Amino acid sequence: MKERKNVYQLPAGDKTLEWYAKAVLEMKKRPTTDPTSWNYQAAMHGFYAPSPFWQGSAPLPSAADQARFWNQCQHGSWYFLPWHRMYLAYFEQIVGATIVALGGPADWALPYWNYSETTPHARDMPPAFVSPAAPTNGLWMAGRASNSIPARYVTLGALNTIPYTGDGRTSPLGFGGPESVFSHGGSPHGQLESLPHDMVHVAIGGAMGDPRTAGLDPIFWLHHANIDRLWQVWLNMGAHRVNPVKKAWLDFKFEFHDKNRPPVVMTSKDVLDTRTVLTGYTYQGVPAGAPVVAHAMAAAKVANVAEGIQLNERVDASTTLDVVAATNKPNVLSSAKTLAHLDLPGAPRTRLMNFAAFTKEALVPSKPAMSILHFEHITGKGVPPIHDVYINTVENDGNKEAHYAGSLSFFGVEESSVANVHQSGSGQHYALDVTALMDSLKSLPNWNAQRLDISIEPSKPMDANTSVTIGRISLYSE
Amino acid sequence: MSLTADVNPFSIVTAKLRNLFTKYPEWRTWGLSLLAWAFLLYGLFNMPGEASHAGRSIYCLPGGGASLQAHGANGAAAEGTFAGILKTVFDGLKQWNIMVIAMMFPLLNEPIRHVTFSVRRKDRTRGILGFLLGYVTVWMAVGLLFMLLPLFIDMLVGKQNQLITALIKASGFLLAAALTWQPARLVKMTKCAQTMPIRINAPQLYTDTIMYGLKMGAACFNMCWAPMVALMLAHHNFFLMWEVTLVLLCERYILPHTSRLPGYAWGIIAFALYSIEMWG
Ligand SMILES: [Cu+2]
Repeated sequence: MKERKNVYQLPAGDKTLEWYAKAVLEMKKRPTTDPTSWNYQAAMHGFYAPSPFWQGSAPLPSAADQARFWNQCQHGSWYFLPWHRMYLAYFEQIVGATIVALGGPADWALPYWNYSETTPHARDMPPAFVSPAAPTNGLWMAGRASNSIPARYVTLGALNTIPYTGDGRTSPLGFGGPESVFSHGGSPHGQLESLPHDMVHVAIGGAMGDPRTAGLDPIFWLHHANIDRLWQVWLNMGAHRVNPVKKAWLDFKFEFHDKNRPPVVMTSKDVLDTRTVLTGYTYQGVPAGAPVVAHAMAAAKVANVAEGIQLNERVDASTTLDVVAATNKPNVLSSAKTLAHLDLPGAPRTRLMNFAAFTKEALVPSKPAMSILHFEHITGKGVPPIHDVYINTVENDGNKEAHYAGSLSFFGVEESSVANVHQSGSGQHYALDVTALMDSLKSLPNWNAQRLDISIEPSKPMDANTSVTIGRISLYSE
Repeated sequence: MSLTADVNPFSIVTAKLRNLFTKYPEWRTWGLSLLAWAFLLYGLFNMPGEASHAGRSIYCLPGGGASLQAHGANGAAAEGTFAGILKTVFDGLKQWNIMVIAMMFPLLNEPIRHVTFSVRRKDRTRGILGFLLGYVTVWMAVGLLFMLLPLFIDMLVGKQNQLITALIKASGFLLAAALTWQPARLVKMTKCAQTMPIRINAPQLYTDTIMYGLKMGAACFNMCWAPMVALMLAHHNFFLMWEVTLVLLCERYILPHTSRLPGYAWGIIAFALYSIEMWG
């Protein structure tokens, strides 16, 4: 059983990163046609021939092989977590075998980068990845925009999300993403995927800023090990946090290559317990529980009834939301802030259109109605900067943060803007849960029951060769 | 005392059912499709495949292509007038639409959900109707063209040569099979899941949903035209339509998107049609 360790807690003299660097250089020597090469592994996540990061990668595998194994990464989907877990497991196996071949230890495990820690340098990329800044350093990567992630983009509010699955329209937002088929048209990114996952990608930028090149940066794998770890952390928090139980999720087959190169098949069911994924692994400081599946789901339902929890808070999230307002024209973002507004239907809605309506009055909670702000059909070019979203800000009131709704990363927006074999080109979709914010805004003097002002502000200026258009902004509420 | 004990169990059941209908708004299109199939089935048992009736459909007749002969021989005399032609076209389109509703509506789960959950709850039916109007319009335009196809081929080769007839009957499905191996097919398929922004206030609610329907009709035609042409060429009947629909449903919802099984299915149908015509 391997232990994936915190990269910032490796003991002095530890050789984990040194061997990783050696293996990266070795894998880079292999031709792109070799499934165990650095290029091939990265291309399984995404490949885009015109990108400068892919210069010199030819000769490439056959078109049939590319169609079958490349560009497989699952984003905006409930397969996001299991697919990346499988991807990392085989990558770790291949790197491990390479290290053994180079005369290294047999127990190499991928470390993780926990940028959400409060320790002083947690948000800085581990130094070994930054210097020496030369191609001889296997961990260094040309073209990164930043080596440090702003604090706001590594927060872990996602862990408070109870359901795994959800789209913010037919159900509350989900931790792991909306139910989807393999190829789909712009479903919202899951909560963990949106923050911190997408944010870290775009904040680092360069190859990391685009799913079609991200796997080329050695830091990608430590970032995703952390996301994979957070999945287990979330499960361990309990209180009805459970994985999907639908067959469509459990049994969907994905293809990879193992260290011996032949194709191998894995399903979500195979990766529910990290201790049984290939030779098994755990994360330092995170107990690996038994797979949380049907039993836990059933138990959670029983618990709901026994505890008298409001019926509308069941784990299967029977609530459907209704659209309250939507913009009438697309918003094109620029380096200045973009202002949009929604026409609200007047007096605040009080009646809950859901299960609660069928229960005795005493059961109807007096908590605020759920409100989700959707950004739909987002298309664009390049790697645009992260944008921060504020609602009903007042000029110079000195309390802007009280109006902060969340951020938009646009990770993968260019790829999502054109149809390909995996998605329809209808653009990206992000959703922010603004329930608490809306509730607090209602008590402010500038609250207007007929109008919501939305300000979308770039975290840094937009490059000339990037663009973003948001097709529709909408507010969904109970 | 359990708080939930007071909840009326009947209310919970109806609420659950209501939730199911809300979460799966495609029950409407599936329902319409079932109605269309029922209509076709009714026709199968109540309209023997004789070709004597002037102005009969040239599409989904239970008797297969028999009506084409009617058009070629006595049919022409009976329908020589402008009104006769109009009636033929009208009846043909009617049958064609029933066929589109029966075969294509169950493939629309994703766009129906997109429309449903993009508009206000009170506008859901309106939005879906707008979408279906746009969608059917595209297929109607195509239907007019398709109506001429069997007639044209009949004119070209006539009825004499059994081999050529058999080849023509099989050719459409062979084409459909070949197109399964076309690399662009996967992209065409994802375009059947495309979405677009829909504005929630009238009149844009209507224009946007109709536009989306037109767009999806075009995408769907782009994906499914070959089996539909094949049906025309094979002078299809109820059972053939049924088989084609099954293959299309599997392709859309069950098989992995890279699966070539639909291609093999089209190939088998082509071979079966050829065999029946030659030796059947
Ligand atoms: Cu990623």
